[in-house]
Amino acid sequence: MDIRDEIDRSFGPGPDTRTVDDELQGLLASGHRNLRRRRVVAGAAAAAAAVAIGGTTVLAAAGGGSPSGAPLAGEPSATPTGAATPSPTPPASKPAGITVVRDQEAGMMGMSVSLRPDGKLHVEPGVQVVRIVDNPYHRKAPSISAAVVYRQQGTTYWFAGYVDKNMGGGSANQEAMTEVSFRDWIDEQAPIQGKDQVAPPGSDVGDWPGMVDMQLVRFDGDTERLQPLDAVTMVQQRPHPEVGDSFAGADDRSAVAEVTFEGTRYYVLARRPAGGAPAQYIAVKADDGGPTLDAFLDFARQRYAEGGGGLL
Amino acid sequence: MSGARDSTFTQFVDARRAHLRRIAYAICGDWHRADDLVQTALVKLYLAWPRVHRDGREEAYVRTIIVRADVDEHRRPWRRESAGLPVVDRPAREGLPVEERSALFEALQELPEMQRKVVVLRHWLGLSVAETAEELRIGQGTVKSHSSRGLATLQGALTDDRL
Repeated sequence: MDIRDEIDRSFGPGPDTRTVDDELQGLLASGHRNLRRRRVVAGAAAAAAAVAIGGTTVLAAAGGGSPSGAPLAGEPSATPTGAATPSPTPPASKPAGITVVRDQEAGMMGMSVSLRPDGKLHVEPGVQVVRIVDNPYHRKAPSISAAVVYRQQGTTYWFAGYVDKNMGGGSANQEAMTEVSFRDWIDEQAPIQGKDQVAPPGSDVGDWPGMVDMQLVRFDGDTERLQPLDAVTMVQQRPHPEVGDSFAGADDRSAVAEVTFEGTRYYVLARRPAGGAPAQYIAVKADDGGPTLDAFLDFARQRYAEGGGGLL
Repeated sequence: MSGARDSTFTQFVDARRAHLRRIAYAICGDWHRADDLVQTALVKLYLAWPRVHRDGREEAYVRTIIVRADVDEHRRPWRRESAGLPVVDRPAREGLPVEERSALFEALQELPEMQRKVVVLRHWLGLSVAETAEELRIGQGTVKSHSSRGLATLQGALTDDRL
């Protein structure tokens, strides 16, 4: 018995109600959409608030890893919270070309690891830098690029980004994956690291006022409950808010929360797509999202129904 | 920007979609689920296309995603335990009409999940023991034991079918 032939004969091609062209167009549209999600476009320093980002992003906690700003276990170095001063004892893996600064204020808002417009790598206190790759995208000085493996609150993240000489830049962040090596992931981000392939600010967020890279909460294991990160206070939360299928389908985990951080009230939409993809979070200041959580949800549902939304 | 990527990706999908769909069906025994798996895998492939295409590993990459995604689905309990969440409106499990599904395929679908995957990868797709172990993230000894038990079951089904 040739089991290979027997198995091959044991079932046919199956029902096919879609044309190949339809399938391909759908795939390409989905692929384009997902590529855009990976883009993180940081505007010039003067427009730092307008951060347009794509979706596989799971960035580190706003406010650092520990309430005191003290390093986590294994932290190679840290300077006290305060002015942006170079780390006196940089991590052993830090290449000579990268200057690391650590403080609460000098990075991109809410991001634990970021490349500042001045080309310095900002790492918030409490974030453990595991590895830095210097200029993986071969940017010419004064432009610079970097890729970083870092850990925060027990989770490993990957960062890859660049800053251009015109003060623009882009970056991608996500939880470390097991099926792809860090080096391969860096290569995969290459299409978004070229100036000609970076989407203009705002093009991917559908006029969404929030910040994808500002993570204030995280999913509690495999549940649809959200845990506030350090220095964040949970006001209220709801599981599976049903913002729309383009945000999260029935198979995806999702949640919405109202939190406060450093005296500001935020709404956070969170989702973890089915299939093991990393969780995604988008934070919207209450001033921009509506007076109540219900008002914010109405706003979000409307935006997603219109084809917009911060996490497309 | 995406012209070359789209073009080569489209060529690959055109050529291999039917085969990938059959792999997914052999793994999960449901054409709707198979379509979902292939769709998910191809979108991931699109994102990784420059690297994977350069290395000539397109089909292996998709196959791995299909197999592991299905593994992940089976291992994730929250889908069924999240009381109060909307029920997934998925069509009923759709296989071939009874007369078109052979006893062998029925027996294949009745195998425990990992045995079925081992048989599909090892004895239908022709992967080596080491490759199968790598794909499923299990030990080679486990591959061998699943393989021998699965094959014995299938041989029994074939014998019964021909009596």
